[in-house]
This record gives sequence, C-alpha cells and structure tokens, in this order.
Amino acid sequence: MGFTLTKFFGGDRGDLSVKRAARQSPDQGRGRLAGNFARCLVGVSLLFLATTSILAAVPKRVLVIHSFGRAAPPFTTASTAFESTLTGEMGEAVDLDEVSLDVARYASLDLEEALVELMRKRQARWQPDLVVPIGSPAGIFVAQNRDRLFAPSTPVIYTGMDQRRLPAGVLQHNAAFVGASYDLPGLVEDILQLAPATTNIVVVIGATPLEQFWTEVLRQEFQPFTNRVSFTWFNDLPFDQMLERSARLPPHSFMLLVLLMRDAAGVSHNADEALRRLHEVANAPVNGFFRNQLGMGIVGGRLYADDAEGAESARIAIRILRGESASNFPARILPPSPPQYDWRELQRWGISANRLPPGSIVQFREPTAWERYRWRIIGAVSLCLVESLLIFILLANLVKRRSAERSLTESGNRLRAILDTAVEGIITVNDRGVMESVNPAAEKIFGYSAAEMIGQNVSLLGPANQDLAILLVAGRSKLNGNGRDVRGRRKDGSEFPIDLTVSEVTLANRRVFTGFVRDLSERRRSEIESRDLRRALTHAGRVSLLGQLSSSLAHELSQPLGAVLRNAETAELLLQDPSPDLEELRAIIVDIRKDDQRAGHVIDRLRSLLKRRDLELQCMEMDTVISEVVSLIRSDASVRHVGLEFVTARNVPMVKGDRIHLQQVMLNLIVNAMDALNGSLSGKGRVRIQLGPVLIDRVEVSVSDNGPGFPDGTIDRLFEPFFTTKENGMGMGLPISKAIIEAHHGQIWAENGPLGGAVFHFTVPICKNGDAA
Amino acid sequence: MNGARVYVIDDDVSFLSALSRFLRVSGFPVSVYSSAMDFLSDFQRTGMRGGCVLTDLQMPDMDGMALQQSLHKLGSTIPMVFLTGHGDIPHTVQAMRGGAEDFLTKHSSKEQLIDAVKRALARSEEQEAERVRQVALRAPFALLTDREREVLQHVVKGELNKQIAACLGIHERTVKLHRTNITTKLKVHSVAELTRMVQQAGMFDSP
Repeated sequence: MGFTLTKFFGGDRGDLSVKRAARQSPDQGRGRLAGNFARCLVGVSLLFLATTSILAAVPKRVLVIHSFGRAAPPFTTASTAFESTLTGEMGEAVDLDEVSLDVARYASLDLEEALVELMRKRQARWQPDLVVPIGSPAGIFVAQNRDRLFAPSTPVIYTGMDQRRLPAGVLQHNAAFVGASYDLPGLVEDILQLAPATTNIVVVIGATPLEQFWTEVLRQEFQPFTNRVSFTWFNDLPFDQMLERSARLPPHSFMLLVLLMRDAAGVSHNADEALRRLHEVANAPVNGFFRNQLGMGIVGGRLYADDAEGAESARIAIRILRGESASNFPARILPPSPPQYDWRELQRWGISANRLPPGSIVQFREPTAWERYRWRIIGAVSLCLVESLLIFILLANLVKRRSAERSLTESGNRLRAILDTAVEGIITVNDRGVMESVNPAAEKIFGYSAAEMIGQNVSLLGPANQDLAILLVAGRSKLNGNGRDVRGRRKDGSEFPIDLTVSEVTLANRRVFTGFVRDLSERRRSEIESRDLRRALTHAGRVSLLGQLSSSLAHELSQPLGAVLRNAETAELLLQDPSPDLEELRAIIVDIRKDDQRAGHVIDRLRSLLKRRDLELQCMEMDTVISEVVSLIRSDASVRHVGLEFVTARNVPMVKGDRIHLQQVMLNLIVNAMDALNGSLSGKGRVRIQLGPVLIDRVEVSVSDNGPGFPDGTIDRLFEPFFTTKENGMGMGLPISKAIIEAHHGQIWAENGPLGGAVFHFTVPICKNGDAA
Repeated sequence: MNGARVYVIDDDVSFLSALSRFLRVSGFPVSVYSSAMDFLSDFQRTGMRGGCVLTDLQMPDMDGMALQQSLHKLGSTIPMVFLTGHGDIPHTVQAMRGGAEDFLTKHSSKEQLIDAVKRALARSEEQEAERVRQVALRAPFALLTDREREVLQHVVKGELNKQIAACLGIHERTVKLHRTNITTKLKVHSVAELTRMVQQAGMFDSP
C-alpha cells in the first residue's frame, strides 16, 4: 500500500495565528534589549496579541483517512462535503490532516504495515482530536489498527461505507457512524420503471477487492431479476474494452455504472472521468449509483446521497470536537432522498415524464425559448399588436360597409348548406302550424317530399291523437328548448318515436317556429336491448365469479361462525360452575356479537355483488375498493399457492366509479391471473396489483402475473366475446370488464409484461370538483 | 401438566381468542400467536419442549403447511393439529403425510377438538418420555473414549478382533484392551448384553 501524505491547514486564520505566536517571542526579546520605550510598548502589545491568539486558537486536529486518492470520486464527494462543511460551520480554525490508503493502486498487507509504522511516527508528534475514515477500506484499516495508532480517547467517525463492511463491535468504543440508505434492487427497479422494455443491463464495476465484494453482493441482489432481464458484467474487462462494447450494445440495453476505481487490467480510474467517456460512446442510457453523478450523464433514480453523508459527518464531527462523546451518537443512516433525474438524459432517450415515480425531482431542465426570451417576446409581440390594431381599425371602417352588403346573401347560402346536410330533420312552421320549409333529413324521416309537405299543416306528420301543430305552436311554452319524446307518423302510416325540440323566432313581427326532429326508433331499440343485455351479462359474470371464489367465501364465513361456536361452548362450560366468572361471560357475549356482525357484513357484501343493478358513479377511494377485493380473494390465492401483492402509489386522489362494478373487474382480472398461474404448485406464482401511476385526469390500475403471458396473436382478441384460452372459460369476463370500464369513461388494455407474464391495465377518471362524493 | 401447553396459532384475532378461551376454560394451559412466524421465532428462542400446536391452515405469509415444514427442518416433532375453514382433501393428505396429529374443520364439535388436543398432548408426553429414556440409556456411553466408541461400533456388528484390528489399523492386542475397557465401563458381561444396550440407546442409529 503506497500513500500520499499531505498536510494543510483547513482554517487559514488558525494557520497564521499559530505561526505568529511562534515567531513573536524573539521579537519581544529584542525589544527589551534595545531598551527603546516605543519598541517596548510595541513589544508589550505584541505579547498581548500573541497571548490572546494562543488562547483563542489552538485549532482542533482532524485526521481524514481516504480509502483511495484525494481525487477519487465518488468517495471525494463525501470527503469534500465533509471538509467544506466542517471548516464552514465550525466557526473556528480546524487543523485538517489527511492520509490516503490508495487501495486501488497498492492493496497489500506489508504496505499497510509500513503505513501503520509511518503513521505511528507521525501521530507521535501530531495526535488528532478526531479521526474520520471515509470509505470501507479506510474504515477497516482504522478498525484494525486503531489501538496502535491513536489514544483510546481519540474518537472516530466512520463514514462513506456500509456498516456491514466493518468488523463487529467497532462502533461500541468511542465511535460514531454516518451512512446513507440505499437500495440495490432499486437500481434495477428504477431502470425498469424508466425503460420497461429493457432486456439487458450492463453492470460497470472495477476489480479492486472492494469492488469484487460489491460485485458479489450485486449478483445476489439482482438474482431475482434474472428471469426478466439479462445482466452483462464488465468487472473483468479493461476499460478500453468496456468503451468498445458500450458503443455497440444490443437494443433495449441500459448501463449501470456502480464503481470504477481500478479495471481488470490494473489501471486506476477517476470514476467521474470514466462516466464521461462511457456516456460519450455508449449507445444506451447510463445510470449510476451516486448523487454526485447526476448531471454528468446518468439518467437518475434513487441515488446515494454521498454529499449529504459527508456534510452530516461534519456536523457530528463539530459536536464531538466541542466536547460531546462520540458514543452518544447512534449509528446514523440518512433517509433516502427523493428520486432525481437529469432532464437532458430523459429527453435524449425519449423517456416520458409520465414514467417517473411520484415525487421525482427533474434537474437540468433546459429553458424553452419562451422561458428564456419571455420578456423580449412579449415586448415584440405587444408592439406588433398595437400597430396591427391601428391598421385594423382603419381598414375595418372601410370594409364594414362593403361586407354588410355581401353578408346577407352569404349567410343565406351558409344556412342553406347547414340545413341540407343536417342529420336532424328541420321543419319551420308559421303560427298557424303551416310548414314553410323542410330539409332533406326531414324528407327522409317522414317519407314525404318537400313539395308534399310545404304548405300543409304539420299535423300531417303526427298520429291523430297527438297534434304536432299544437305541440309546435300552441304547446310551445312547454316544449320550448326542451327535447321530449313524442311520436311521428310516416307517409306509409307507421308511427315511431321522435325527439322534438322547438325554438321560436320572431321575424319582422311574424313568429316562426322551428322544429328539430330526430328519429328514435332504431336507436332506441338497440339502446334498450344492449343495456338490458349488459346488465344481465355483468350480473351473470359476477355470479359466476363468485362461484369461483367459493373457497374464499367459505373461509370468510367460517372464521366468525367458528368463533361464535367456540365462544358459546365456552359460555356453557362456564355456566356449569356454581359461581360463574361473569366478567369472562360478558367478554364472550361482546365477542359473539362482534363476530355475528362480521358474518353479517360478509353476507351484505355478497348480496350487493349478487344484486342486479345499474352503474352508479360516485367519488370513492380506489384503494379501499381494491383492498376489499384483495381480502376477499386472499384465501383462494393461498389455496392455489399464489402470492398476492398490492402496492399503491402515494396520494392517489378519489376516483369516479361504481364500487361493485369496479370490484367485479378487479375480481375478474385477478381470477384470470391466478388461472394463468394454475398448475404451478411450486408456490412461485405471484399476482401483483398496482394502484398508480396517477395521471392528469385518471388513475391507472394494473394487474400482472408472472405466468407464461399471452401467446402470440391473442392480445388483440382478448376482449372479443366468446374468445377464451381457458379450457372451461366462457370468454365473457373480459368483454364484460371492458364494457364496465368504458361505461366509466376509462380504458382497458393488455400486454405482455416487460419481465414476462401478462399485464392488464385500466384507467378510471379522477373525481373533479363538483362530482358527487 | 408442566410444559404440556397448547400453542394456538391463527391470524384471525377473534377466532384465536374464542378458541384459546375455550381451551383455557377446559383446563389447558394456552399460548396464542397471531402468525406462524411469531410462533416460530418464539420456538427457536426458547427451545420449547413438549406441548402441541393447534394452527389454522390458511394464513397470510406463512401458512400451516409451511410451518409444519419449518418445524421439521428444525428437527422438531411437536405434534400438530390443523384447523381449516373447509375440508380440503389435497391439503389434508399433505398434512397427514407430514405427520399431522389431526385435521379438523373450524366447526368441529368441542368433543372432537378436545380429543384431538388430548391425543396430541399424550403423543407429546410419550415423545418426551422416550427422549428422557434415551438420554438415560445413552449416559453410560459418555464414559467411552472416541476410539473405544469406534471399536464398539465394530463389535456390535459381530466382527472378530482380527477384522477390527485390520480395519482400524491397530494391533489385535490393542483391540482386546479396548474391549475390556468397554465392558468394564458399561458394566456388561457379554457381547449379547452389549449389543442390546447399544440398540436400546439407539447409539449408532443414523442421526
């Protein structure tokens, strides 16, 4: 192990004052020898100065031990933050010394022994008041050699490392620990969240013992993902080969730079520089692990707060230097910071902001032209506007007269065009009910030609018992502006329902009534039929779903009923005693009542599911809707050895929906997912229900499984009636679900998940202000 | 009934309290757990001995079957009685194969329940007595040295001194010396007696 030893004074004032104190003594002596009063006066005042500066500033000594060199990111981030916070917030001089183990270049036991020797000699002259190892190699070094290097009273702050790397028990003796939380599987999850199509993750990591350790840990932590993504490990490549391979990665790759202190060829690297070069050549997005890398080319995610770690260590260091005992500080793990992303990278790789988890922070957003030149644009546009306005006023005066002449004929033509192409029949009558004009649609609806209608009374178009003339003219007060179903009569005598809207216009003291007529016969029939059918189907779907849930229902009911039985038996036993325990009996009765209510609730819930009913949209918590379904179905899942997982995004707003119908959709999707996993008694089957993400006006819900997924060519047909891939399936569950979701103004779709298995998504609209709660 | 405790496990708190109340009033010492995990960690921590487990079959996280397997792995033979909301044949078969003492539905009559618990506790007591007996039988063997135990293993297989000597690579005279020591320490007079003693103590049964 080689090392670089440098010594510098963190506080300039401290430096000067110490040197001044040392220099001034001979000065003062000379002053006395000369016997010069003035000099003496100066001497005395200097003496005074010297004394005060010695008293005020015996700087605290802090020894920082680096694992790698001083310029070895990411470790440098923690040490720089530590030093700057320490000197900035201490409020007095600090004497900072440092040692680097430089393990990337020189990791060997004899060099470590030599370093201990050297440090023993150094520390014999300069005993630190506090020792701060940064990074786990330094931490282990201090933990092992502490007794030989420092007095037991010298406190230690271990930072920039994982606590598990330290030998057991080292934190018990006059030591503090500052770490930041991190989530290794989260590294992969973050990537899959950003780019769900990812199939290959390239892990860039070096070959020092520390990096070898982490390679092993990562392999284990990433193991659960290996059936969904393949991992390519660069740990045994020299850096130039890493660069070469990064430039031609297969599509759907994502790089993950964890650490690069020394590559497999034995060349040491500056990880920031390595990141810059990888980013330059890579044909896939790059992600990192440390927060300091954001802005250097990584996309972002949950990042390790190395800077915060250094700053927090410095704050604890200050308190220890001011006299608090290091043992007073419990091991401090900084909480995770919100995920952060680099806007430029998101743009570059076409990652939509919708994919980011809620609460994300997006940095380095480049201002749009509008944001950048807002005032200039506003100024220029305003000027143009004022000029245009003046010109416009002048021109308008001129044009006004001419256009007035033209507009009469023009608007007449336009009206004619509208009337001719309207789908609704439009009929105008005078105040006696005589038809003055009809459009082609009216001809089509009633079967008369325009010539046959104009000049006739409008009652021609209605059945005998319902005079359209009265409805149009005399009954106008009731009808005006309101649609209402009335009946019409065609030329062939057949009657049919129509929708009639009437408006009245007064033209030159003459009242004209316009009737808008819509033929309801065809539409109404199919509407009624499809509504009835849908209701019957959804009901049938629910009944058959409940049939499939028999095990859950039995469980739900047998729990409270079993409890009631046992409690009743216990009460009987107690009553055989001549002086029964009344307290216990009372408790039993309370319990029996509670269980009875519980069974009642189960039955109520069943009944509401079994009832045939229309859709009633209300504002409600989707979370509760799903939780109820999950608790209902949990028992069936356990019988089928399927793991159920329900995760929800934070702060999901209320949605507008019908609880029962949405529960039916959820039940259907979950039962489908469990069916897809059938036959895997291995217990590895999982169904994951996810509430979120929350989009602008809607909430997405998804149900995914880790089964075989959809066979090719089936996805498009899933929602067709009677299409089924199950042996005894009806093929109605998904069409019904689709009808329900569409009646909610939502969407439902299916896909094969990025990690295998089938995924169903649907959306439900968010409640707006004013929607019924 | 020292140690003859009934460990009741059910994730349904109200059923758990009703069941444990019933057993308590019926005279059994009862401990309750609302999850198999809780019980398992208590079991490992205290190294409890004796008693029986009365557990719900269907529970989130770890169900009754998984608990049975975990206990097996820990080498425990604590008798288990399963309760289920509904009779489920595959599960019953699996549980019985795993050595379940009984399999009851949640609506079983109190007599069935009490009988099952009593049977399980009786089995547990037998197992405990058997264990104590084995310990007592094995005690004298502790006096033997490792070498003597090795020689003994060959002797009870009926091998001759010559064979034993060849097998262990020692002199026949040394084998004789070891045999004398063994019979003296175990206070037996014949090979037949020695063999019976070894068998009863289950000395060389596979662990």
